[in-house]
Amino acid sequence: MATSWTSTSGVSAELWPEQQGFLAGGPGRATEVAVVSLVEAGALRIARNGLVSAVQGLPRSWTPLQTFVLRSVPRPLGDLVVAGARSVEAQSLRQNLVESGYVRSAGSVRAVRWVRRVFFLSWIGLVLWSLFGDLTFGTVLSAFVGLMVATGVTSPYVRPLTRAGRSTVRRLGAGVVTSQPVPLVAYYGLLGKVGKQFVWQVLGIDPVAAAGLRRRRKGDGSSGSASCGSGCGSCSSSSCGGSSSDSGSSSSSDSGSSCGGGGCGGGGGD
Amino acid sequence: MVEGLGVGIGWRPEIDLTVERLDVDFVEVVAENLHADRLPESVRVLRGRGVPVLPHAVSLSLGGADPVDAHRVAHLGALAEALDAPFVSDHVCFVRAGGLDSGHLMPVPRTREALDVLVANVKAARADLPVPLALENVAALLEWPDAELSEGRFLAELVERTDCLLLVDVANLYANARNLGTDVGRFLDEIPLERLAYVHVAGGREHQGVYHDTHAHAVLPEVLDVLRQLKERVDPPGVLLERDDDYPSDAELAGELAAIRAVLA
Repeated sequence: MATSWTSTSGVSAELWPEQQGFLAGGPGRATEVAVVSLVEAGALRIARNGLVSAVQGLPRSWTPLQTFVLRSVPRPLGDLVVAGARSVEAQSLRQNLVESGYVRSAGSVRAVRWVRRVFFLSWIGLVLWSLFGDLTFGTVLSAFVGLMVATGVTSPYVRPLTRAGRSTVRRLGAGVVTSQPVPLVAYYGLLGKVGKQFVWQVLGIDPVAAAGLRRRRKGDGSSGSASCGSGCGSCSSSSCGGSSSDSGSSSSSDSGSSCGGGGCGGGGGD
Repeated sequence: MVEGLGVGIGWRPEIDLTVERLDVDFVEVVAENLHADRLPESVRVLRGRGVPVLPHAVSLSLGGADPVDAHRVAHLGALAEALDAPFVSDHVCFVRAGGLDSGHLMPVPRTREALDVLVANVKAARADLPVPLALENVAALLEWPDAELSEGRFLAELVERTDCLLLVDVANLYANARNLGTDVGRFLDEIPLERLAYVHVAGGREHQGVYHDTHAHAVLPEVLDVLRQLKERVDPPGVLLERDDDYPSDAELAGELAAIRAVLA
């Protein structure tokens, strides 16, 4: 049986499933991965009513996020995922991914967004100048082209994931199969859909337990992940699905362009 | 004596799916944790499979000086009907006195006077229950002074005067043997085994020289040995494993059930 730090999908030998989950769906998703991997390892139980509790007598070494989860139970599944998403351990996971070059730092994303705003406002100023001043239309048009070029050039830098991060998520999606719960959850989230079934259904989780899971609203940064704070959460929509080998939806809809390419947008129940 | 129940386990919400997966013949639920009109899905699933579900109460306080709380008895009775249970059970103890709740199953003094009170309460409860009532011996860390009867004789007279059933907890008996010097053989010889409903088995551990019936640790071989001594006298209709905390893996629980079956074989 795979441990939490075993790369279960062959996506990236150096990334743990929790890290893969973080890339695909944010800190909540990473927590879902921690929970499901512990259940798979026989260290946690999820009762029909959603109460998650520890199984005694399994002295093992766990990842920091798994340790947080084990320390936090008994607790309802939904609350546990939210707590995990907000935990210091999830933040450390994120920091680790930033340092490894998979996730952009919140500061750099913010800075690029500000630069783009300044460009845009400058262009608006030029438009007004041309309307009420003596600026020529050609200058405004040139400025517009410049703005478009600047927007295009900076586009990759406002996404929470780096190229390596997006590539990792794409490869994760390509290798996901329903018989492997951990990568399945990492990619889709418990509230994600595989075909006509929710992932929680595929895993045999009771509907009452799953009802406690929450989708994170777009723009909800409560997870504490500044650069991975927006998105559809543990999304079940089929807004993206291009790169997946399964017919279901993607977990991340940050860019909407492909399941693999979005990344970090979902909250995985947060 | 009650017809064969087999080997069962205490159903608890935390391990509901585990209980559904385990090979058990019957389960017991803590009556105070369930509502007759809102049974947990897992309990309904088990009932649907034909698994008997026995309500086990902890709050009737039958040994107390206060009259039995009619609402608690009504709740227990409603639960028995909802579960189609053949009988219900509680303990030979008191949990309330003077408006205070002890939070523990407190032993009653083994005097004639206390027995009279207990008998009156049991008869009152039985009158309002739709099914027979079984009474369980408790584990005690102290004995009241001036006991007039041994624990076995006390239970025997209680059964004789109330016509109730017996639920023998061999783990409690073992605990009392360890902590209070109760003679296991004498206890088993004195109680009316023909009135035996079923048996409880549970784990515990010693802490600072005192054995605690924790229901949160593995069942000791010594407890199974008490079960073996009981089995030498009578084939128990049912034996139930109680676990209330620090739940181990499914495999470990299955192993404990198998150990019980081995004693009964």
